[in-house]
Amino acid sequence: MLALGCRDASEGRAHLVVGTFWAGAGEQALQRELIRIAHDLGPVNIEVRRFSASALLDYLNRSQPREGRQPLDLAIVPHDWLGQLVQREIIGELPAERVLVLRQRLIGQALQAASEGRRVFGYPISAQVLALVYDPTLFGYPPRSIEEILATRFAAGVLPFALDVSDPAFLAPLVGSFQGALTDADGNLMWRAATVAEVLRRLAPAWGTTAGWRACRGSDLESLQVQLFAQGKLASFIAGPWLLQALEDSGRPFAVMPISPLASGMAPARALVGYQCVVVSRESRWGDLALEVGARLVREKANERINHATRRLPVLLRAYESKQGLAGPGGFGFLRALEQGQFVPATEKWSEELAQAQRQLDAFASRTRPAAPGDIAALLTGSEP
Amino acid sequence: MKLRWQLVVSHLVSILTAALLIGAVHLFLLLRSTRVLEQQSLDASLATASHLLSQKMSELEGDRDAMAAFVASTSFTPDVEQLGRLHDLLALYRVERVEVFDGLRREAEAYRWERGIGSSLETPWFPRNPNIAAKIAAGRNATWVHRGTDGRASLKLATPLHSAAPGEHRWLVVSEPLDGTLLGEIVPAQAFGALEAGGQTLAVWPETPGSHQPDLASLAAYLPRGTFSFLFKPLLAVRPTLQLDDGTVVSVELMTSAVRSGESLLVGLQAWFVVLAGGMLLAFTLGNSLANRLLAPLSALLDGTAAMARGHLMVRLPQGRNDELGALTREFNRMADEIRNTYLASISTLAEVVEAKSRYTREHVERVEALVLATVEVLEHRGWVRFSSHQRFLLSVAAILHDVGKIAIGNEILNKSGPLDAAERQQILTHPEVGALIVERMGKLERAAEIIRCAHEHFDGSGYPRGLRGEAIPLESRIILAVDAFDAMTMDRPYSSGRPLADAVSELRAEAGRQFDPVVVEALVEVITTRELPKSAAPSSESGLYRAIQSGQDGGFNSGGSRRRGAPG
Repeated sequence: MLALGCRDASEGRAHLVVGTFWAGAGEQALQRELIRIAHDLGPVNIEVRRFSASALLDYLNRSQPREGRQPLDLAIVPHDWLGQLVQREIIGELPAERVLVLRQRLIGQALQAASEGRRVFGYPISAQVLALVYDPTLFGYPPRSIEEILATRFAAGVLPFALDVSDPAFLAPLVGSFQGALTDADGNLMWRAATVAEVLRRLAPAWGTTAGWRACRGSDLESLQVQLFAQGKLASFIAGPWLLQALEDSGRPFAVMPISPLASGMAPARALVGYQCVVVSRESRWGDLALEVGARLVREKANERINHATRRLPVLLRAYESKQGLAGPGGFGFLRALEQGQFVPATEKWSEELAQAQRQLDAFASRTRPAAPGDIAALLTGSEP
Repeated sequence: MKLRWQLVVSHLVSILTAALLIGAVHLFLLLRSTRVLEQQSLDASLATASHLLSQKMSELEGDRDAMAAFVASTSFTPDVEQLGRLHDLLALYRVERVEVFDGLRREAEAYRWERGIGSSLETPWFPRNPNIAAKIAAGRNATWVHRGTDGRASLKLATPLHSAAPGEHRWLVVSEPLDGTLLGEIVPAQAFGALEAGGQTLAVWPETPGSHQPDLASLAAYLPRGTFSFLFKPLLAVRPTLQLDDGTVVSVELMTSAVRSGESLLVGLQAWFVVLAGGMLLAFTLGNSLANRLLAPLSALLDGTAAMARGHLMVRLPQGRNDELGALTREFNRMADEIRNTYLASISTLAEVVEAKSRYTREHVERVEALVLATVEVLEHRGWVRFSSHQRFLLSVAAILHDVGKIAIGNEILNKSGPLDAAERQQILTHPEVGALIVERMGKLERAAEIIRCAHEHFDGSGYPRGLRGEAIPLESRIILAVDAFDAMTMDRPYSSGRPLADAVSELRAEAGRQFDPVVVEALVEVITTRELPKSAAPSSESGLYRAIQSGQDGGFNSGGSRRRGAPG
């Protein structure tokens, strides 16, 4: 009775707000897990707010108390945002005891991606990497190089290869393959317009036609690529693991392998590996509770359910040891791509360099018609012919 | 259990019962009103969700018509560029799937990878439902729900394409998956939702993982929990929203946990706790106060009765109540008066016998009693003694009857003018013991008897009958001895006048420490020297017991003599 007399009903109820740009199945899976976690934790409300990626970053940057906005308690962000979020003191470091648990549970690279030195700033919950999806019925054997794919003769109306030419993440493995490495000795991104132009020129058989151009840039490109692939009109394309469910639903046989290198290149094509991380706001009223929610999203079953629903790759050591969650066509291909890939350092410098690369490619891809191979460099550098 | 605690417990039980009843009624009303409010809130949320679904339907109809206008003049070929344009429309209008039919042939389709893909979402052409088929054949818009082989449901919106070519029959069908994602956009936070049609659940939010038979009730266990909300059934509300052309009515169903009811229960219990605590405090205070009010006179009666039993004849209880306890007190006082009067009558009789027997006069007895009491007052004033009313009463009795033992001595000895012989003297020495025995036998006056027994003992031990000395002699006896001697010295006799006061005082002081207690002598001297001593009355007391006995009064011991009202001394 005394306890009843001393506790206020409304005060005892925590309300956490989780920001994410995950949509569709990802958002639902997240909602489901958060409902479970809230149920287990007791009288806790967990609200999920969906933003676009840019809106989420903007909200995180502006949701300081002085801005008068309610801060997000947690957010699901790509690991390459961590650098700027830490620098702006938006997120805090994870407590040592929680890091200790993470070290025992996670694959080393996932934890490294969310770290700066020995300090860990988020819970990595899933990995994503790009790989080559191809139609095994159209290829006699796994393609050894991009040039080989482009040189293969398919039936009329079948596009040999597609990739999103407006996104540096798609081009970066091939640029790295072509110039031997994507980063210099200091870890800086080597994104030279001339090299990129040369890579694009070598890929011209893929995007140089009107049909190919549409299959390599434009709105909702992935839907078009999936549909073309499903209809047998696209032999191969670069895709992320989140398309696995759609590929399975398409009914078309498919295979996944790490992105083939450029035959003329000096190194294998190492895809950029990204991690989705749960970060906890420094301004959260319920910091400990938010940390606990984040930790629970990395627990085995919850993490497996999320990654299964979102078709992202697991970060838990146990998942790789048991191969659970990797089953199904394509799963192992993405895993191999993950093993060969290189993760994007979570520094603001890298973010700026990638943004610069993005601007170059936007200038190239914004045309409605494919550019002539000789105009590529000029387009990339902004001196449009 | 003592009466006090019986009263307190009785109050506690009564007030707690009342508090429990009030609390229960309050809680019931609070919970009922909260439940009604919660249901109203859910109904309002449902109205919003229903509105959002209707709005979504309107948007889809608008998108369908807009897309139809775009594609009406386009004859689709298996061309990537054309497919790309169709995809651009999908992205522009945020539609998940669009299909174009030319007659019975699927001319083109485009879908988004997240929700629009899958053979179960493909539109069977023509629809089997005769109403839909008839509408399509008649070139009218049609809407219906399609359930795929895997159980996934989708909303279909078909419209004829008005192309220029005559005789050409083309249709555009827009599909919207009825899934958790759609529900997630319309279901408010903290609520679970479902879409149902014809008694079948089409989709739930959040989706049950791995279940092809979604069921909103099975999600109740995952509803947000609040304090005590598990004690209440989840709230449900259903609202028919979409009337489709195939006769299907799509309803929105919402479910929330009774969080507010749980919180109200907590608030109600808190209020109840406060009422109970307050009630307990009130009950204790009231019970205690009433117990004090009832028990004070009862306690006085108990003490008075006990005192009476111990021989305190001067007991008289205060009266101030008009209830049964007041009547009881009055009866007690009346009984005490009667007992006391009986004793006083006996004392009076004995006093008259002594008066008749001895040569002393009534005035002597009155003066002795008055001087004794005055001496006591002086001693009290000096702080040497403190007499209760009962002790005063016993002292008065002893002063009046200090020579009652002379009844047993022959008149010839008592009135002998010459010296007594040894036998006579021996007989005289017995009178204190005889007097004490007489008084003792009256009952309840043992202390007075003891005073009388020692009233002829001298301070230096030369007195009789036991030769006690100093403090071994009761103070009352020492006072009576000194006062009796003084009165004997100063009393006028028929055959001689009394000695002057100064002589008597000198005599008293001369005998201080021998016959008399020096302290008593000094007190008596103060009485003698500072107060007027009439020959026939007490020096200061106007209300001596002896006078009262003679006049039939109670001697003032009860009206002003008692220091403690309502209790014996």
